[in-house]
Amino acid sequence: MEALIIQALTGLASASSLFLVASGLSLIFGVTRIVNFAHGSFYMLGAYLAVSLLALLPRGDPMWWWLGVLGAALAVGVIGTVLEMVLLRRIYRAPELFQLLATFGVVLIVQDLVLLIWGPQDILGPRAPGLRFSIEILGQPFPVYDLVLITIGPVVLAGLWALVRHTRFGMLVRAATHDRETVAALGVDQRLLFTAVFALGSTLAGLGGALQLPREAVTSHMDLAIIAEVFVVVVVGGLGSVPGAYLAALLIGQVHAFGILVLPEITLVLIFLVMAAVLVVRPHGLLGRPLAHARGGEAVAVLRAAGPRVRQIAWVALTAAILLPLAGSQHVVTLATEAAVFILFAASLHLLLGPAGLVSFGHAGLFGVGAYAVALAVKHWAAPMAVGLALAPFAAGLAGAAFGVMCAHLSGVYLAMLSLAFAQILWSAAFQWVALTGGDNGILGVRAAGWEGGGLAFYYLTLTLCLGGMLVLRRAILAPWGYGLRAGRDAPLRAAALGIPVVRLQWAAFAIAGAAAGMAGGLFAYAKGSVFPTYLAIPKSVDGLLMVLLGGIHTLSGPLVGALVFVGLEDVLTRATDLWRMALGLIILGVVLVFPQGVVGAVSRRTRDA
Amino acid sequence: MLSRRTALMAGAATLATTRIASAQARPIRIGEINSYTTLAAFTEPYRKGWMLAQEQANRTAARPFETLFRDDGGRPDQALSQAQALLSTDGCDFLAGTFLSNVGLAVSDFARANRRLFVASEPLTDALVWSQGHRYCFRLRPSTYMQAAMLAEEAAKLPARRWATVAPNYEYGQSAVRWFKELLSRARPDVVWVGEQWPAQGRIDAGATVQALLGMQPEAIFNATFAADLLAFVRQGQSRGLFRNRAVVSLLSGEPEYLEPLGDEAPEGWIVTGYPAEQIATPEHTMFRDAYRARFNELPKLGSIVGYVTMQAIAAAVARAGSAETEALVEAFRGLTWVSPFGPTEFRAIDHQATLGAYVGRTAVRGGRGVMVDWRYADGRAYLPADDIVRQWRPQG
Amino acid sequence: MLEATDLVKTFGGVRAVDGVSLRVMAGEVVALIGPNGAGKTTLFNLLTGQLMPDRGRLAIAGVDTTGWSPRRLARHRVGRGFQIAQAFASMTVRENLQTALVARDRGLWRLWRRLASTAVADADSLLAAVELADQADRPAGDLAYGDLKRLELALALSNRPRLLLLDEPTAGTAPAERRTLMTVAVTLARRDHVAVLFTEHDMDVVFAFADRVLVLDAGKLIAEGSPASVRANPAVRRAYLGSEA
Ligand SMILES: Nc1ncnc2c1ncn2[C@@H]1O[C@H](COP(=O)(O)OP(=O)(O)OP(=O)(O)O)[C@@H](O)[C@H]1O
Ligand SMILES: [Mg+2]
Repeated sequence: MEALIIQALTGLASASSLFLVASGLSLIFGVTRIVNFAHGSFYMLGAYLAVSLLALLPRGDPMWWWLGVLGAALAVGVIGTVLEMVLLRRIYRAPELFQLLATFGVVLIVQDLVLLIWGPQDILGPRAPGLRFSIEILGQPFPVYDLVLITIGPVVLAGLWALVRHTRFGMLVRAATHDRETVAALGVDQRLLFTAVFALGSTLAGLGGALQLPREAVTSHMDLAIIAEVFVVVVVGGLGSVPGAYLAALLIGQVHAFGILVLPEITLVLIFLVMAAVLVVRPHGLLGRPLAHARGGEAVAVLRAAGPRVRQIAWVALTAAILLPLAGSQHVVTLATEAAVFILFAASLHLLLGPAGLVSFGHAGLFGVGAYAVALAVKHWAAPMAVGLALAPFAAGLAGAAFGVMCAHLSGVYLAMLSLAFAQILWSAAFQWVALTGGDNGILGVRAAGWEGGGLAFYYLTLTLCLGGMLVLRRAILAPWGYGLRAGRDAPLRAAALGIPVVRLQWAAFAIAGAAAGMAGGLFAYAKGSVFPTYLAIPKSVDGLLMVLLGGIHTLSGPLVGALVFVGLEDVLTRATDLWRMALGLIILGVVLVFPQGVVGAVSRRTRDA
Repeated sequence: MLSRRTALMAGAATLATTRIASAQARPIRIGEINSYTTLAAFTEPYRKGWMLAQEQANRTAARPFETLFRDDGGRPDQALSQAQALLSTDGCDFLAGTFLSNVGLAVSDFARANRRLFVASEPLTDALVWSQGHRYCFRLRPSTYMQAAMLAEEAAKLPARRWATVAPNYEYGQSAVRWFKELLSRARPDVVWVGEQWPAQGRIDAGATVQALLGMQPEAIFNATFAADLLAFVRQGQSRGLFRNRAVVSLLSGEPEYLEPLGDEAPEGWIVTGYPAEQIATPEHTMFRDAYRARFNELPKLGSIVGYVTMQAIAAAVARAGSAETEALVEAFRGLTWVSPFGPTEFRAIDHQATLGAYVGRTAVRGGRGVMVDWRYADGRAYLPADDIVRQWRPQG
Repeated sequence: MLEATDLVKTFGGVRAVDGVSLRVMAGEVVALIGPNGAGKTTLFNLLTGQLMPDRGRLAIAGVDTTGWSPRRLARHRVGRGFQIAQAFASMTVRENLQTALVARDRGLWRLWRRLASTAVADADSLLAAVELADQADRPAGDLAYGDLKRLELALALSNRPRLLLLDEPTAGTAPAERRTLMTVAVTLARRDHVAVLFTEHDMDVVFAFADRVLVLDAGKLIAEGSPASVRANPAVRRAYLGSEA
């Protein structure tokens, strides 16, 4: 019994730190609708800046320690403000999710900056003077600092609550979250509101990071380690709801603490299971309310079939792709194979993101199902390639359909998060079901004689299947089915009043996108000759998002161009410099600022205007 | 300032030597892949050690060495792209490196399919030389099995009978725990295993994990967490009294990469594998350490050793083969012996595993820093299973 | 054609629709009026399945349609125009109608045939009917608001409705525009013998086009009758005094 109480207290301490970070993210999302990946970077910067500040301040005096922590948090707030003013402010009118791309660019840049400034060593920051000891609780030593953290959570909650309930700023925040017209009607300078919320949110993240110093090491992985978890908290709590975030943090903290006792092997996936369960029962999270519709004024371009100019370009490109092996080296062929695979992957994600308006953060899950289907078929049945490549889209299509059933009633970021959970659950199966999947060591030797990855035969096969698959998707988008999907996205009420079976069309979109992603994954498995859980991991999903967004959501050739740009950039940059993340991040920011409609979106806009 | 100038001069010197050398012969090009962005704490000293060995080798080698370092971002698929590019575009003669086990296995599989040599430096997984072993892959570091065996030997001497384990939840942690349990149980049938903790790598919830371990009331703990997880685990363990009156046996924790960040909070009396760089006084090690210090103005870390010795072995193998051609090199690596900073070392012909060992000792805090004391060198040779068992595990032919 | 009995819908504590019963005959044009917040849109949402009533029954064309989804009602040939125009912004005007027509003909599961070549003639004749033919190739997202309301009307008409429910078909348009819009709607409806129920704030429009007027206030029907009788009704005047002159 005592042990359980102590465990619960430990969970409470973790909950407080989670809450600090999550509340900031929730506020930012509620007001600006930005899925801010850089929030984890703010958290990490808070910790690193606190280390540096505390090294400058007198040691051993509690007052200086706390001032240092606060100073670090404020410094992060300043960084967040600057980021909002020079970057995000310029792109609020770009298509939804484009800001996500920008914040991801920031994540990449900060990762390298942190390595450059603070070096690669993990740092164990100074503990809070005066709070280093433990006290006996129920006969067990318990760190006093954790008790302090347990109280900081509710204190911050109360502060935020008072701010949101009883100030004009708070009223605007609530209005912006749930009722956008009011804000516009009040004649408020929205930009100021956005900046202020960003400043507040990033300060909270920085505070969360700085307060972690006594508990864990400061590392350059902190950002991504926390961000997924914080997303979970925000979504479970209900987007934009600060009390919800606290409740969810408590829940997740306890799930961690007791999950470790009962099922220590599945700690990672447990929180995603909890999130999936919560979203199925409460589609808007524990305390969330339906959000006001996203920012208005977003330009939605009309999708057009290719005109004669584009057709010409396409034929030239196709000829080039076919002739490529004549000119290029082995590496170029491999790269082109990979590019073809990612074109299909991006096109399948685009079907969901674009025409269907279904934001998926877990598309790599379906890609991975295809890859593992092939790998398992080869490993256990020595299946020939034809069987593998039939199985991959079939298995992933089924997975997509199953997923479609799960999230039929969700939309927007909630859907995105459930898809993330879905992919994480698949990932952890690949990662931890060692007997079947080989765990993180993966499955090796996924090859078919005569069709080696990097070989010419395989290149042409991949080119045919991937470009063919992309054309089929494209065709379906321009067919009545695709229009029905877009109708459901553009005006769901109208679509329903016209008798369009939106949910079923979307469900089919999941299955079809799944099959296409699975085909891409299957080909990828053969191309690489091995499969690993990283194929289903979050970074792969993010890669897909980057490709689609780089190319432009509201165009048909966007995913193709985006995938080519991404694969090319990654190859060139990773071979040229160890600072490739920063370079990629800067390029992403450049694209975001110069082409807020994506590369293709910008080009077609320009040609149309001309 | 001084260090930067010497580094610059050394850099200029290498440039000069390569230029002179390249006039004589085409350099031998090594394609090196590692997690430079995601595991920089290890790979930075690693690259320094490597460069030192390469510079030393180039002073005498008939054909100079040139290494292209590539980042795998911690992802096997990226490593495979790099491997492909290094061989086909960059014209590398063979591949080397890698840190993560899955990346190592991916590159090894690629090497097998393409019949090109791959010298794995750091990945610890047993599969690399045993269940997935093949002609074209060699591995330097003592594997999970070997290091678990070193620790199990020490653990068997402890009076403790109730043991708990904590390890990161992936192949490395799982096989470390499996081997440690098996080997310790074999030596001490009276041992009981009271519980296991499996924190996610890089995301340990240290407070809860420590609390859960406390609840199991073990007499001793086997730990395989490392890096940031280890730091958090130690801190929470100290403040919650987990290590009070308990023996801890801990894999890798004596490596400077992981011990140094702990500073004066380093635990006392843990039995660990590691590398007491400043204390080893064998002539070969002193020579290495002095050269490293002169070149980089810092103490070598374990990464430095791994990088240095890998390159050293490559140079020795090339000298032995008299060529950089794959098949000749493979033959040269099989049974290759050379003197590393840890002493005489061999690449076994039977499974392509090097006999490089590790240092086993206890942790202590001296002058506000964590150090290893009472250590000894555990030669890898002594911790490998018998040949007939290896033949069972490793595909023959 | 439409027969609603004792419909009730509450939001939290507010009885937005409070025991409304009404009938609309085939070929009849009925106006539903009432001050802002009277519950008109809510009533429409009950009639078209967007909201489920807490109580009450609904029959359309002799079939009990209580609890039907909007989609099923659409198949039952109920047309709906929204107060805030709802068009598909990422399509051209013609594509909007093509999509609607294909949906009516249950052709949405075609994945290969291009939409571009589908139902063009029907779409264009509907566009001509609402006088929008010249805008056929413009993106719906770029339309002026008056044109958007025309498109809205065309969409509501696309499933050959026998019952047409128009929620403020002229809201947000200029007075001259209102008359043309209503003329179009009512002419088409009378031609095809469609039952029409519409809401409208402009009394001139109401009295010019409605055969019969229903007055809703605070969720309750307070008056019903010919335009002239309703205009004279003191209760109606009282209801409007607070909000409109
Ligand atoms: N979804 C909802 N949740 C809560 N209350 C609602 C909701 N929809 C409408 N209401 C309330 O129900 C009442 C009736 O609203 P409704 O929109 O039906 O009025 P209306 O007659 O259409 O007004 P208007 O002339 O302004 O269009 C109002 O008090 C409104 O605030
Ligand atoms: Mg209304």
